Amino acid sequence: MDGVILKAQNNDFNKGIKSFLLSGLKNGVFDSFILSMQVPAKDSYAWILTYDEGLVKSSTPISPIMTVQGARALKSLRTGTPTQKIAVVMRPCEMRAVIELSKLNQINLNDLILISYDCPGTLPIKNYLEDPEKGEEVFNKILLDWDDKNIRETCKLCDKVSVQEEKTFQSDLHITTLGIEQNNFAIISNSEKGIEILNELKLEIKNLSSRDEPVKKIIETRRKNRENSRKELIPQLIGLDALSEFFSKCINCKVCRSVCPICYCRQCYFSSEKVKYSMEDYLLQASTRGNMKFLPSLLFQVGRMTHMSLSCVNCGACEDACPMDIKVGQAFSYVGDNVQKLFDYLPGRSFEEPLPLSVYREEEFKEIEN
Amino acid sequence: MNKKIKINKSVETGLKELLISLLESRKIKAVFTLERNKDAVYYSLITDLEKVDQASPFLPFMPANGGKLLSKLTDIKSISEPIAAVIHPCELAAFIELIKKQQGSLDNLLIISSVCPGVMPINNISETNLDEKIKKYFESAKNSNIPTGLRENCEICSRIIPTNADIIINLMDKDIDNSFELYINSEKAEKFLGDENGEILDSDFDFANNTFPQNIKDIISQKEKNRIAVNEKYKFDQLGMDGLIDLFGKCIGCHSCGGVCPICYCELCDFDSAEHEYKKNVLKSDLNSRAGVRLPPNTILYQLGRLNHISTSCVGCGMCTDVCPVDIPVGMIFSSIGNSVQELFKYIPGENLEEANPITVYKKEELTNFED
Ligand code: SF4
Ligand code: SF4
Ligand code: SF4
Ligand code: SF4
Ligand code: SF4
Repeated sequence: MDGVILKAQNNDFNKGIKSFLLSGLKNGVFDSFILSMQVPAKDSYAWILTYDEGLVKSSTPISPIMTVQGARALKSLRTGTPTQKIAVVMRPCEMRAVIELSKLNQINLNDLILISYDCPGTLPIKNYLEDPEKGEEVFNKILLDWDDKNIRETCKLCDKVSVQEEKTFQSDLHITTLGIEQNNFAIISNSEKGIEILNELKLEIKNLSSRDEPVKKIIETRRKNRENSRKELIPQLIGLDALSEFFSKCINCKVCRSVCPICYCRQCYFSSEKVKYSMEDYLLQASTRGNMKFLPSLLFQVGRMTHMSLSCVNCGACEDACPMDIKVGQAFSYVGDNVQKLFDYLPGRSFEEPLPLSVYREEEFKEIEN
Repeated sequence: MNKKIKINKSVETGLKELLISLLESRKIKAVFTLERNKDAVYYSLITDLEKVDQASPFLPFMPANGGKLLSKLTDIKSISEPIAAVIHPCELAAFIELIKKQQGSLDNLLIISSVCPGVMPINNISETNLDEKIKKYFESAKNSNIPTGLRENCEICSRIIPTNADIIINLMDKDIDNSFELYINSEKAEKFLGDENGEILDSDFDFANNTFPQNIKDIISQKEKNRIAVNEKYKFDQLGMDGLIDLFGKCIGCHSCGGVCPICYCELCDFDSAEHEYKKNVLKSDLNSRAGVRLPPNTILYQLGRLNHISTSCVGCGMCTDVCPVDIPVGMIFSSIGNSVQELFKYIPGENLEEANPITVYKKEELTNFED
């Protein structure tokens, strides 16, 4: 793969990225940015949309925690974008969710320039919140050594962390640090738009084959991690009894749904009148079984799976937020993988690849019409 | 004279036996109470006698606000045959607030509640030494101490008496392992209970009218002190805009706090509706005036709106804190602010079914003034 190599003094990739963004602002290839930024109390991160040089300088494009899944932040631009060349720096899994939402007409990509980066994973929010300062320290180390000891379980299983020959996610530009010389990072174009931008910036394109080995290695490690963890996970998910046991602690708070970038329905079916029953309905059920647990959770979980597993990008936002520490992200990701395999579909792989279900639906309609 | 029934059994066994006898005599059709299955705890509607025997009515946990559940269950239509429900005081208070908003009905519900020692944060249910903790909890309660390891909200909750319950059980009683008293607190309860359930005695205490044992008075005043101390420390009710922005700076706008809140009953929250969607022109002008806009926008607006909608009714149950993914003490903020608003209006949520919520009264008056 080819790309441009840029400086990052003292391996401060964030600083390097910000200089690149600001040079783009000067050259007119970008006119504003969506970046991750520390909140005033310095104990968390939020997404900020800005064109202000000062704000860009105080942002942290590669941040230690995923608070709001980036695609959820972009959804708030549903009714339109304020400017035309907004550079968005987000993780690969966030990009993939952005692509999925664009297919579901929830995000318009026209005015966005999607910039992904080599993602070593993020820290569990709860761990970070306990001691944000320490979290910063831990994460800065991870950015250099890619040690996965302290990252979220779901990240340990994620193999879509960098671009390689076999395309696994779409963006316009991709920032890469793996296999690049010390104090440097590189930018690879990952779309037509990306190629144009690099051309416009007149930067020298170099061969980046030094990345191939390290990228391959990390992907292999992650895949092995996943294989191993699935050996334990799968028996916990197969069959209704196992599944009820898996979700037994679930309090049906639906936090997992609220933080999921893919679940975009304003009014979720599983919170609607349609799933509301009266005491009499429950009583009927209770009298045939002896008791009726108020755990509509399984219906909710399985229902949510059928609605969104095809687009699940296994970003782990749900698992990170679950107050009961249920491995909900890993469960969805497993189901998602299977459904996606079935349809030979990979969410977020490319702008063009249509959602299988929409194709399916259209074909179904055609049959009816004929 | 108020009545009570003295039962010479441990409180849990005694209550379950009572529920079973009510089921057997067909005075009630089912029991709504907590069940525990290893590290799962949930409300359940039970008709089977054996399953009542396995239930955990006094387990110090609140997986969902029971008032919210009962409201959902009685909202479509009220119950046609009697059901007994064992819930905490704040759940009952929430239920009553919901009924005032036409979101449910007490018809045919026999409400059993306790003088409440509090509940633990819900995720403690997976702790390995849980049984030990629960034992300690009941030990403390029995000795009229506030148990340790409660939800923050329970530590400052002084509304521990379920004044509107039909039957009240005092869990802060040192004899609780051998005998306990059921206070008959309504005419409805009298219809369900009789000699067959135990000896009916006159009671010195009238929970609904503020006469109750000294040890409970002491606990209440201790908790009031706790509340004042918390308020002095955090000044939640004097935060102002900047303070709120700081406190909710971490908020990721997931709206889960509202989702589990019994008082937030709207099926589609106003703040999730299309009207509240960030419009392009608003975004543009915000961006021009501020140079930077947070996405998603309006996280603070949501909190302010929710405060505005529910502060008079917040029962301080702490459900919201339990689910917040970024550990904001939402329940403490809402309960503290709620409490001061409630004091202002001299309104106690859930205290009196007949008393209208001041917000609705206020709105009406405003309107009549307007008409004049
Ligand atoms: S799942 Fe984790 S490792 Fe994978 S892209 Fe997302 S944050 Fe990075
Ligand atoms: S899986 Fe977790 S986050 Fe989702 S509803 Fe259940 S308890 Fe809540
Ligand atoms: S908030 Fe009060 S009534 Fe509710 S569980 Fe806690 S102590 Fe009991
Ligand atoms: S705001 Fe929080 S503490 Fe108050 S009633 Fe709602 S869930 Fe309970
Ligand atoms: S639960 Fe917490 S993060 Fe979510 S909206 Fe409420 S305060 Fe914000």
